[in-house]
Amino acid sequence: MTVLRNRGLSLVAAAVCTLALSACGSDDGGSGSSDEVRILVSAPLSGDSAETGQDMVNGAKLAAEYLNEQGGVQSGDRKGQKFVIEGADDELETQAATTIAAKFAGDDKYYGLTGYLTSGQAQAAAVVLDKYGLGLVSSFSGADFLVDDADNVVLMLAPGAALPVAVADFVTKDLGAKTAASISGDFSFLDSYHAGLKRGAKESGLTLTSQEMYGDGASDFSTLLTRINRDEPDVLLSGAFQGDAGKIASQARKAGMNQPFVDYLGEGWGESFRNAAGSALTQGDFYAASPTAEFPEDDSLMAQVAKKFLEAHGKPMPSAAAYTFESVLVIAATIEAGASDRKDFISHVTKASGEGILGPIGFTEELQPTSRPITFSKLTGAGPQDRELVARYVAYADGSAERQ
Amino acid sequence: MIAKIARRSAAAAVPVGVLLAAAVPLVIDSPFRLQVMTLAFLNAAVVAALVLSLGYAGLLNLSQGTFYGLGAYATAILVTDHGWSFTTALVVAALFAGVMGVLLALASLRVRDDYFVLVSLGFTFAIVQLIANLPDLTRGREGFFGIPQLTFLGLSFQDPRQAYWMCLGLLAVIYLLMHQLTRGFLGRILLVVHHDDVAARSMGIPPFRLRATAMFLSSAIAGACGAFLVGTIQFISPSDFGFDASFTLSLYVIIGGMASLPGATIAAFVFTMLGAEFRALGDYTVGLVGVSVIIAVFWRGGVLASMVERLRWTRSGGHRVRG
Repeated sequence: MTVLRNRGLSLVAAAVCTLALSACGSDDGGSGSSDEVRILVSAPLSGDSAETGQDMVNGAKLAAEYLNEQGGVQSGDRKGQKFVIEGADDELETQAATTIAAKFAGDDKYYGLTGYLTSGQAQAAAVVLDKYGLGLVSSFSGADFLVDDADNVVLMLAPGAALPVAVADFVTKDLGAKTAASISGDFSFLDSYHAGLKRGAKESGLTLTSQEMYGDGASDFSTLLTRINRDEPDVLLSGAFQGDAGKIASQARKAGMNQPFVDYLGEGWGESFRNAAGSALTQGDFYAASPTAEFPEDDSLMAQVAKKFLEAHGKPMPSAAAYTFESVLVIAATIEAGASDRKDFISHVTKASGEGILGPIGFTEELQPTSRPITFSKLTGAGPQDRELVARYVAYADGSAERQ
Repeated sequence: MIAKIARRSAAAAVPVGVLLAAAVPLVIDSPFRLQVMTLAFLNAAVVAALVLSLGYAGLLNLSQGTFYGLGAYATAILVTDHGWSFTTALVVAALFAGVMGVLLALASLRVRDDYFVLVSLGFTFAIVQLIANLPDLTRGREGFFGIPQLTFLGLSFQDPRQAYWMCLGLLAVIYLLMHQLTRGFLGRILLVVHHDDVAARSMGIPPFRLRATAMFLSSAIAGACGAFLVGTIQFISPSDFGFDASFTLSLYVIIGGMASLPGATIAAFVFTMLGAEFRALGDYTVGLVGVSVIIAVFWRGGVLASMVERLRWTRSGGHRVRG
């Protein structure tokens, strides 16, 4: 019995020690350093999405390097300060997202918080930051509810509606389609994409024969494809995540559906798409949409940054990295606009301006980017570089898109 | 004498620990520390309840995280879409999660042990898929947003200190309740049912009714904790309540001791804190939990004691040493 009691005591002692160590930690507010602009990047650095998370941190680090080469902050109270990036593993979990937000809120040494791969995490983090009068830059998530429900989240992505609007215009003008059918996941964040597709189809004179949706975890799309094929649409539009999109492409081609296969999600078709699609890639045409300025001019900032990323990491710069790079540029531009104190960041972000890799920096009152590039490319082979540019568009904050 | 002092110290340790923890927000004002500790209290409370169904009733329940989520979603829907007060929603959420727990316990009528684990896993996957694929009700996969600021007993979850105290209070109440239940008649007969079903029946103890009671209490408390989670972070998503969450909670019970209320509660608290403190370790934190499970199993299985005994025996030149 004494042993049991002693064990109980030792466990309580362990908890008290943890409590005490935690309380004595170095994370109390006001301990910050004022000789640097430290930016916390919340990204999944472990688990299945670790590669994307690391891309996000690498993109931010590249931006800091670029800014520091130019002398750091150019004007104001922070003139001459260098940019420092610190990655934090959010494990793609909501609770982790909130503790990272709380870590940022509690320590003045951090000026900015960016990252977040899912809109849910950004929303949860925004709730925490709102208590302290702070905000964040959501670098790669942009569900409509972030605009409607939070006023302290700066979005880097254009509204979801803009991409499918451009897709509807593209398939009508470039592919000569009169009818189209879409297939996508039944996810709430895609609502704006579906609305954009309907709007774009109406504006372009495109008839949507059907809009099919599948549940999370589906792998057999044959029933949905059979239903789509009854109307024999001119193009098949995919709003599926890349792994699902690859399976859909494979099953569609096996079912004899050889019409052009066009992406309207803009996630990018990487290895998982190609692996799942397999030999289907040699049948019919595939067109990918991307919310970045792919195939940049040689002397553009995007081209220089993409080249540096390729040299440093041995692969083309993915969208997640490009958008986090841009997030750091936006934070820098906002400091130049007068937001020396991080509490002034949200109120000054609309005054930020300058050159970004996704176009000129500028934000609306709803904290959405005024414009974003959209690139359409055609797959020419099975390799990641086997693509050719076919069209460029610009997406606007009101959800419209314009051909360049 | 020593035993008497140890007994009295152990009895005082919990209230002293609670009082010390309650004083923390008066000493530190770091939002990070308060947030991490608030979430650690909730995890510890969910695990304290799991001790009853997993440790005492012997139901290999891998759905505790899902009951946590069911309570959270029920609360979020009721307060956001139907304008209910937090207090009413809390009660309904707890009852709802409890009833779902009883439904899962029904499976124990037909299957036991490994097969119950499979049923429990199926239940977890089914509920999470359901939540993810009912966007009109649950906002779907992206998560439930737009939850209003909530108050309970005059305290606001919006204030990090008040949220901290509420979650600490919840843990203290649940711990006390579980302590009374497990040390009392219910705990003893649950252990009988756990170890020998036939013997229990021969003594007139109805095994299923007891298991169902344990599951109801265990899952209802998890549901209540889910309500507090909603108040604290104002955002929930289905992925937070899937297999990973449930499995991790069960691991804390294994690390702390299957039928050890203080052990499991403290393991959940400490590992949640460590997970946040050492976030930079990434995947290694998962490994830390895994190694702890192995050590805990070796310890409880007598492997470590046997190794120490053998080491001492070898060092003493082969003479028996009294432990």
